[in-house]
Amino acid sequence: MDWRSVRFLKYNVAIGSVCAAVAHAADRPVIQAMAWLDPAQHLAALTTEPSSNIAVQNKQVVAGEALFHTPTLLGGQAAKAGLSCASCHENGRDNSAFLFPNVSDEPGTADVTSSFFSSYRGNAIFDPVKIPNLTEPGKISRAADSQELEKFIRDLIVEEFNGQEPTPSVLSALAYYVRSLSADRDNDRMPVMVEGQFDAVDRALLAAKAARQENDLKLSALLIASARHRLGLIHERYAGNRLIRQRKAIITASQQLRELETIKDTAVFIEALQKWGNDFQKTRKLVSGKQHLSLYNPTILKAALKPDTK
Amino acid sequence: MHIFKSVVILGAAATLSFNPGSAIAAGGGGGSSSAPSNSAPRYDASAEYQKGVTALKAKNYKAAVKAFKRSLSVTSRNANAQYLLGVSYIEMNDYKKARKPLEKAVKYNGDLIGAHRDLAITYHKLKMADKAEASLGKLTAKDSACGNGCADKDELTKAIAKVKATMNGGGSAGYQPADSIEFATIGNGDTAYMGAVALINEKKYDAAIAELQLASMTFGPHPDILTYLGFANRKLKNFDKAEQYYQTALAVAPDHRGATEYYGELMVERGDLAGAKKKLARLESLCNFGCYEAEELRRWIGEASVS
Repeated sequence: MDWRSVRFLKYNVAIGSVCAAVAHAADRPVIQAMAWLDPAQHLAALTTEPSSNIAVQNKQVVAGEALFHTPTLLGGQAAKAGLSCASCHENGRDNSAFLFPNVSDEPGTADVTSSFFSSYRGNAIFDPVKIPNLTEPGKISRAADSQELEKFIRDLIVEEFNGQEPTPSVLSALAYYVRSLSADRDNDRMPVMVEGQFDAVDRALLAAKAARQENDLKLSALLIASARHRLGLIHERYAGNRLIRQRKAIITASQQLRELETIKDTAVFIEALQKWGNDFQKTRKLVSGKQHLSLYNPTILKAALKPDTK
Repeated sequence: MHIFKSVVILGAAATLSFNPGSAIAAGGGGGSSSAPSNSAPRYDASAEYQKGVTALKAKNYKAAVKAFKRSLSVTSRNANAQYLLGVSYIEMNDYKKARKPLEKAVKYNGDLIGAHRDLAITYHKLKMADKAEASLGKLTAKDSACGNGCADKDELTKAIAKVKATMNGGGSAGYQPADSIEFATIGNGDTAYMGAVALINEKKYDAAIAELQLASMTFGPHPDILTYLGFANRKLKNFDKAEQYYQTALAVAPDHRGATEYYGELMVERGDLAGAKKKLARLESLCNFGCYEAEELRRWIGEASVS
């Protein structure tokens, strides 16, 4: 047996043992999003996502994209469940796998007037509607001069989800992001990879830095929350005994970000954020290097999903 | 009647995640630094309660007693578990052993009509006539307070009739109280759970408590149910009751984020900012990646500190 065969064999043994360990350990949904995804679509929905082309040169769009993926932007039950705008609108599209118990009647729908989420909009009628694809024009004008979109987003956060009143800069960033979505993107689904999540962490922190430079502490805090949430999404994919080091490193990185948030002085904050970014490269390498043993690997994820599909 | 099926599932899905022993959630380690004294079996109080209900329905009373006792070993103040433990003993014709859990049941929840009824019958069987009369008196007092239109009228009338019939020497020989307990059918529970949360969102706290109590009869001391019972009571300014529910929820599930947050908010409402800050620190240690519960409690503390 040559060295390549040995390596291949070792690789497969490792994958096999991780599959077994993860499947055995799964006494709850292994990934939080499974709670609101159609079980029949779990594998596809968790291993692929619509393509996303963020205009990274536009800091408002970058901030908006991060906020769009941040549960704490929403309030009440949605935030506690870990739902963000992106849970229904995957990278700004619709989500044909979204199936929240008693909020959806079929995959891809949601009752936006459910009292479960809101104390404002409950109408005591189960009337789910198809989740719209935000890359397509909707009923709400997106004209920058009308502010109709900003008002619509504000009402969604506050009235549909019981969220805290968003600041003008938060609303502006979200509106920039939604306006940046266009239907001309291809409809192919791309593999969900850890690098994509790391890039999203980078973008959120870039936007947090910009917000701090403008002394916008609330926006900055939300963006750090967004980055930490993304780290949590990575963490939940690194299951099993073989990935303990990776999980510890991700937790440490998140805790360090929390400490950064408490820094009052902007210059000190930016310096600390820069240092965090440099240190984080090691974590990124450590984690990326074991992606094949994580739940980003469709084979391992499939094994982990088995207990729930019995 | 709202029925709760899988609060565990939806709890994880929707609100108050409760995942004891989840290797993945805990980072795979779970910690192994517990002292030997901490390594005694620690049961899932809700799961054991449900095992007890299943055994009771199957007339496997020994197994029911075992399961209810396990559930009570985690949280002894659960009135429903105490009641059903007492019922299990009655089904075994062991009125002596039934007495204490039934006394505790009515102590912890004076509204359990079935528990009052079965306690009165138990006292009668144990030839404790005064106590039996006193228990019957509590039922008749409830009936008087109820009038003609209250929701419990029918149940109260039947309970009083049953106690009186037993005291008059009829119908107690083969008394099987378990047959008269209407356990909510397992099914469509997600709807019911969300219904209760919706009632809370609609600020209909009394109605929400009634729904949660029903759920509690089926699912026992589930931390999500206990937390919402605490929340609804807090909103009704029943602070002591709320605190008890939060404490019980945390006894059942020490890492419960929702109970920790709401308990902290209760402390803020009572002016105990130091206590609330401790709860916030606890939440921060539980939420490695941040969580809404911590943010909410932080906001409460911040607003209280300013005012």
